[in-house]
Amino acid sequence: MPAMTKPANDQHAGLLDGEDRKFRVELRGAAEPNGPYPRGTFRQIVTAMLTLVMAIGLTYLVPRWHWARPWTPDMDYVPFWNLIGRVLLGEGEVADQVNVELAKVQELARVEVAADEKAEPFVDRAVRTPVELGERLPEYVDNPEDAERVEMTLENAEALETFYGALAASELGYAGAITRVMHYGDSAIGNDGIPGAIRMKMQARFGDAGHGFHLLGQPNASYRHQGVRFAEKSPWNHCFIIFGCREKDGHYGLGGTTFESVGGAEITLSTANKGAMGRKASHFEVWYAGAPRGGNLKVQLDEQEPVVLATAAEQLEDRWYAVDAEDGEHSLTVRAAGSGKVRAYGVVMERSVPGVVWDEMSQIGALTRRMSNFNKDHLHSQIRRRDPDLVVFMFGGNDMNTQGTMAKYREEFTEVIRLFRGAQPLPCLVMAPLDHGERDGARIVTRPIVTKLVNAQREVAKAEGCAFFDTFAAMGGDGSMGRWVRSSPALGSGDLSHLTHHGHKVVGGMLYRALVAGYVDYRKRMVGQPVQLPPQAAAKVEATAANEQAEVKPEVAKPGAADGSDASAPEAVRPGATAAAAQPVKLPGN
Amino acid sequence: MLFVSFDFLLFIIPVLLLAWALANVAALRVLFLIAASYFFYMAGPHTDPIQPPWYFVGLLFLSTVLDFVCSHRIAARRPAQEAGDAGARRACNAWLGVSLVGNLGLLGYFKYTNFFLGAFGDIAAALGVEVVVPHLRLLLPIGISFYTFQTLSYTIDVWRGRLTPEPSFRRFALFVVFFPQLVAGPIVRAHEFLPQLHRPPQLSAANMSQGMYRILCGVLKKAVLGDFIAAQFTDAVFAAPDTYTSLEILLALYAFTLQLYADFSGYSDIAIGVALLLGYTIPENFDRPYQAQNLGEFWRRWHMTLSTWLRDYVFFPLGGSRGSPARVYFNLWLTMFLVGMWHGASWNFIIYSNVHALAMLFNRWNRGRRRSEPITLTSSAPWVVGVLLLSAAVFGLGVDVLHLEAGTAGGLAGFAAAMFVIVAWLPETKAWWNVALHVALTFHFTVLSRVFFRADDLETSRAMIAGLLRFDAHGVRPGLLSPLAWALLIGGIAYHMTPKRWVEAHGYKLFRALPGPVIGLLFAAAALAVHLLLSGGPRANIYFQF
Repeated sequence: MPAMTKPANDQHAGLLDGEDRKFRVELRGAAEPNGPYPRGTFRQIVTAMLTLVMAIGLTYLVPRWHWARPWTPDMDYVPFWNLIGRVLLGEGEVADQVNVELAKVQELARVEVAADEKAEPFVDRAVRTPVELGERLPEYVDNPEDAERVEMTLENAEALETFYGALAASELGYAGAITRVMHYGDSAIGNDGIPGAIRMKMQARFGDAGHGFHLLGQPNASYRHQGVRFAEKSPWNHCFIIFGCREKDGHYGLGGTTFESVGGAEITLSTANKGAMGRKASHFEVWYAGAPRGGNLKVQLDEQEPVVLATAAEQLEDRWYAVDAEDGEHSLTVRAAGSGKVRAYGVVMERSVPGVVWDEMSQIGALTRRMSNFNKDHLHSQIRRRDPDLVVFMFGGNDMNTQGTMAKYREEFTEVIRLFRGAQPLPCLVMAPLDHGERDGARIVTRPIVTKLVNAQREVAKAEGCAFFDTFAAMGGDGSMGRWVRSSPALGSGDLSHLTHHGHKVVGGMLYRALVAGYVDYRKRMVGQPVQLPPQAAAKVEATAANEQAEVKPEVAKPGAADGSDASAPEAVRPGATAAAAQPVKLPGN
Repeated sequence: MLFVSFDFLLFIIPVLLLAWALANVAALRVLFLIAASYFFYMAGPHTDPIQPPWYFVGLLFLSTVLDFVCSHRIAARRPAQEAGDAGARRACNAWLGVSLVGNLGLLGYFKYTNFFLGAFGDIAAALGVEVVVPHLRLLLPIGISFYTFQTLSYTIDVWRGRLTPEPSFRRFALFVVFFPQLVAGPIVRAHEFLPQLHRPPQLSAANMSQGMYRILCGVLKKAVLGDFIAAQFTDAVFAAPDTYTSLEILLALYAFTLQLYADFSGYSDIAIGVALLLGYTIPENFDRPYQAQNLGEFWRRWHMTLSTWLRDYVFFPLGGSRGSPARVYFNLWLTMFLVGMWHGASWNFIIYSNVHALAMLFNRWNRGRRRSEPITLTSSAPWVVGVLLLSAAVFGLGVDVLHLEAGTAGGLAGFAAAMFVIVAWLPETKAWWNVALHVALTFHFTVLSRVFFRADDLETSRAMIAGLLRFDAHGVRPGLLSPLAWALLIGGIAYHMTPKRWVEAHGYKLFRALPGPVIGLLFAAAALAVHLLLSGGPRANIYFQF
């Protein structure tokens, strides 16, 4: 065999080179006193110590140097705390209580993580069709999840009645019963963390109706959705609403980011190939704009022949292009194909089976008021097309860093909620911001503004008829971010403002249980009441009824059918699609 | 107690003054230092997470009594054993067993129980068996990994006949609890420290200067390069890697690599400095590890007292470099695996340990192989097989363990294979470019493998690696790192690459010539920097958790 060792004196020798050195040490005798130490042995160190002590003392003698004091009476600091504070001053009980709280959160995290790891692709529920006139809600059948502890119930949950109605139709499996939720928020919902966690649970129980809305690019590093594969061959230029870069027209698209390219930009969105979510899709919509001197947009589903959409228009307008396919794995490529500048917003991926779609609409770094940058008519047009059953707002994290008053914040938040709900009567839910911590000595405490902001949002939610979820209280209230950061696995991020991947799952689980608790209550209350039929089913039922009366009326046009581009529109066409049909969806170009 | 804290300042000044005053009263000095050490252990600050309560000191006392008794029982039977008495030999072995079971049992219970329970659950689940495993709420006693190894080394040395047992319980107790190195090392061997307790403490002006210099260097390393960078950057990235770009994740790995070195070597510097002020010498723990030219050298320079402990008490007893190649490689793998696993109990550390252990095997093989043989079809066949096997192993790790896409895992496997070929191809010359390339490759191996060292769990490691391999084009967002953090990061790594003598010889020479008041002002400035930079208070040393 080759030589296995290097010479021991090699300064670059490895740890395990060389041989065992044998030695023998006898421990004998007692230390004899050295006698007096030579003069000067301690001179340097003692004078250094004295200087250090005097320097610290000076900070207490000179008021202007108060900022340099290592300890002040107002500080929550007890020297040698583990003995003095914990034992002698009796702070141990509080500390132990903190540990108990922490253990609860950790247990919750473990449960969520374990459930996530076990998640398998969803099983589609049976579709209930045809729908009869006068369908009524049956008795509610208990679900094993109902026994789970609800950490924090919703306030003003009755504001979500129509959302629960849609959810009931989805759970009962009515054809076309897709419950759509748009979840707007700041970085607290980035990375599809909290929305992804809720989507996972919602789709597992109520059905998987697809991934939902995805932007045409990643405006920031935190825009990464779960349950979808995004590939960017050549990026689009983007304009993000928080920068006010579309100040002239306010057309930012449903997701708050406009994408532009004069040619060459290309992205592909595909169904997921792992995990439980987003494994199938059957309906794609490209959301884009018609504009003067607009270029061509090339859309290709799988290996099919690409379709080229001419985006030139007399004026700026919202357009959609829908394409359907067999329910399964698909990829959709969207490319700016030249001949002018193309402006586009995003892609919707759905399925035509009953279930839930939960759109993540994160606006990273956004103050709440930045949502007012939307052009009202444009936003309403976008929302009508999407036709959500619920809109969720989770802002406030960035507003904590501004100097504004709470009165001003309430005004801004009210304006935003009204702007979004102006499109149609839309149930809304306000999620309070996460706890935001700051370091105080060796502890992490809640920033004082957090509770003020939570209360301001609660007041606005109540005044505007929105449900309210107190995320801060659900986390454990005061000091909770500190506990979440210390948890193992860590639930809070080191910046004391955001959550980790595990933290997202815990908060997502909390909101899910709160929503479902309200839903169960709704179902029990509404037994025997007419089912809130999905629009398509409702239209069919109405048409049947009308036929019976021999009073034939023209059918409502499907989106795209008006121009022939979408002859195979999905069954799950909704009233919003009716509105969309009125939009000038143009013929594909050449 | 944390070194870089106001508590420690309140503690150390009176302790030093009294210890010096008692320098010529051996028994009292030892008793005083034992008392001070127990106080140091029990009187920690209010930290996140909260430290175990004071009565965990009982474990420390238990370990002390256990090894004192075992060593004397072994020594009492040693003459008979040497005379060939089989019963005495069995008794010696039994008492060693008592010490091993007692010490390693406590360590295993507190440190590894939950991991083994979890691993049992994971393996059962993988086999399709649903088991509900409990998760025990265990607090890890601070310093247990350090003092356990310290006391074990003493008993094993007595059992091997390399050390006579310490006759004085108080001296032995001081060896176990000596506060400068009690909670985070360096791991001091009995034969290095106990003889010093049989002599008067070495108090001299030179030792005082040297001690203060080491403390000052340690404070700056620990607080400025360690805690500040962590608070500014690395904690946030590792807490939520999904929210960071590929380049930001890579930067976080560089930052953590620097932070870990600064944190632990800074702590060791302070420990060595404080011990010097008390008149004792404890061993060095770091020797500019990132200047190592290969992984074997890295581990000889990194946490030296741990790696040499395992070398002396595991590798050599297993046979070391003697025996068949297979046996030598096994010895090497096991030793390095234990070095890794000492740091923690998790799947992350299983991967970390194996990655380093296997890289050490490669390093050993690569340095020992004959390079002069001409390349022929026959001689290149093992290379091809080796590269293919490595690629397959890395691909499997990527897909099955790290949950990477097949294409990404393929890229990772290709990268590993390319590195294998490049490192094997590099000559062993002292040309500057070759040395620089070896240092750079070794450094980057340690940087990348730190993912598993720092991440809280395997899922975080997966997210970090997926983020790294995404190669997104988002760069580093403006404002993520402050100019000061950038400067410290770049300056810190550059500092580490400077010749050691610049700091240890030239720096110390300048320091030693300073008058005491100027040194006092330097310490005041350092304290102020700590106060201002770490407004949230210092963090516990990273190695406290081990």
